[in-house]
Amino acid sequence: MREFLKSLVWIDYVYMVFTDPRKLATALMRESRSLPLGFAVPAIVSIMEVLAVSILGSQTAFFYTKITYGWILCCVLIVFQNILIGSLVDSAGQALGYQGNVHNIVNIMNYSLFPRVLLLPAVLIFSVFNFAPVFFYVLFSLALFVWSAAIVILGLSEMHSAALHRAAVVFIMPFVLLGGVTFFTMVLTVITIVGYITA
Amino acid sequence: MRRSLSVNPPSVDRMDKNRKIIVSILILLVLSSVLAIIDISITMQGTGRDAYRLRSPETGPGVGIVRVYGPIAIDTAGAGPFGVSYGSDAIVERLDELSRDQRIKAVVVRINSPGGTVAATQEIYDKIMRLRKDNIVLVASMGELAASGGYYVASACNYIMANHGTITGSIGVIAVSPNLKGLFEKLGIRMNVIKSGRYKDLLASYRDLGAEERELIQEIIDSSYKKFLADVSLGRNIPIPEIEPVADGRVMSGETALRHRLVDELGSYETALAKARALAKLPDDSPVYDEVTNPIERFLMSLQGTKSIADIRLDHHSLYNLPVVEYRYQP
Repeated sequence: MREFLKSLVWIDYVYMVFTDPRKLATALMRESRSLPLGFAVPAIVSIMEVLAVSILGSQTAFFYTKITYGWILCCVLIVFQNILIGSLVDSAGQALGYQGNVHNIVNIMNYSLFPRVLLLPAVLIFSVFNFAPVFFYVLFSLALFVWSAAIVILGLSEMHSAALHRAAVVFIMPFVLLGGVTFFTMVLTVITIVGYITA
Repeated sequence: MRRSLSVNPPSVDRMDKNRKIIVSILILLVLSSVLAIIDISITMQGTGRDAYRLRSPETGPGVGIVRVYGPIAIDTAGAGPFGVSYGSDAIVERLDELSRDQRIKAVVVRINSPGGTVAATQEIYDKIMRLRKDNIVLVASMGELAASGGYYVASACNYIMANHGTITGSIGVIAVSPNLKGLFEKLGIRMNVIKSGRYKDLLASYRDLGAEERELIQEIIDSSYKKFLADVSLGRNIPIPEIEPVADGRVMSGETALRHRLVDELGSYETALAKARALAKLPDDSPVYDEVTNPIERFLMSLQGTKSIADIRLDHHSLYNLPVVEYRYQP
């Protein structure tokens, strides 16, 4: 692992995240040591997002708790989310006749988060000039989510040698499923809470 | 980073250049993180530019808030799973908490109450007087209503701020008990009473009040009234004869109360906060330590169906149907 880090190949991964996601997918599939390093990306993204949110919100001493422990919680949630969605994407891929490989999917999902580190400098600039920072935070968050999704879709397309639209379907299916489940959970929760209050 | 050699193929050279770009971006990201942390820390300490500051920093010497809302009673029933308690005990506890807090240099007692039971009101009064002796500045801020026991509590403070339209005054004592004898007779209801003494069912609703019994109750009322007058006189530093003419139970507006020196100034809650800061020689932007400010806590309290103190008092009376002697304004 030390040799892997010294070889600076991981910098190439970061470069490929921005420039060539297909090449990134091929490189990740070739190098098994890229997986543990990939989990560093959610950690870095968590720190950056905690800082970005802290710049926008009420700045109290709670910030020190967030930056000491909060980012760990955030990182754990992102990793959990990646594993969950990665597993569902893998299942969706298998349902469409592709070979399953959750290991590689989770790996590419981890690396695909890297553009989200750009959220902090972007928000910081708008915050310094006090020019609608919350609006731009939301705008950049959406844009970076789309960017991350595009990286995963291109990676899936390369991994499964599939057409881009089929890779997009494989990626979107879990979100449709999770969206449906979340919607019904919310509806049932609201009904239960309203019932509890009015009882 | 490895230096590319001239013997390397062009693709390797390009990769080295790309690595340098990525490392530069990573360094910039680290710098932006450090910048963000410094920015947040500076803003938190209140030394940043005003444009950045979203809220006053909640650190350092400041003003504590105590709220006396609704009828005053010792009753603490209804404390929910989130540990929210009510009544004079909770108010005394809050005052105690503030007195132990080294940051609290002044306290604003926000009052919106028609008064309440004699003992509960006196407990709050005594606690405020103890804080006053500890050189904590106390400013009463009257809301819509600070009558009778509400005024009693306010009178313990160093300074009283009332709104122009605040209903205050009502210095006096009252005990109310319904006489349902006629109704009981009409309905044919008769009570079986076994008692150890002739006055044990004093103020019972099923019979008339005797002359001696009335005297006994009057004695309690007079004693409580004298105590009320004495305490207002002590708190306001006004001789009793000067208060007595308006201490006949009458209510008055904030403006009239100012004329009779029952309050010191007309002003809002914000004015009271500013006055507390000024009296305690605190800066204008010193923090305010309120009771429940956390929106999540407030939301949870609303979810658990937190009762107002008025509801609790209603429950209390409906359970025990006890007549009580009160410093209370009853329109």
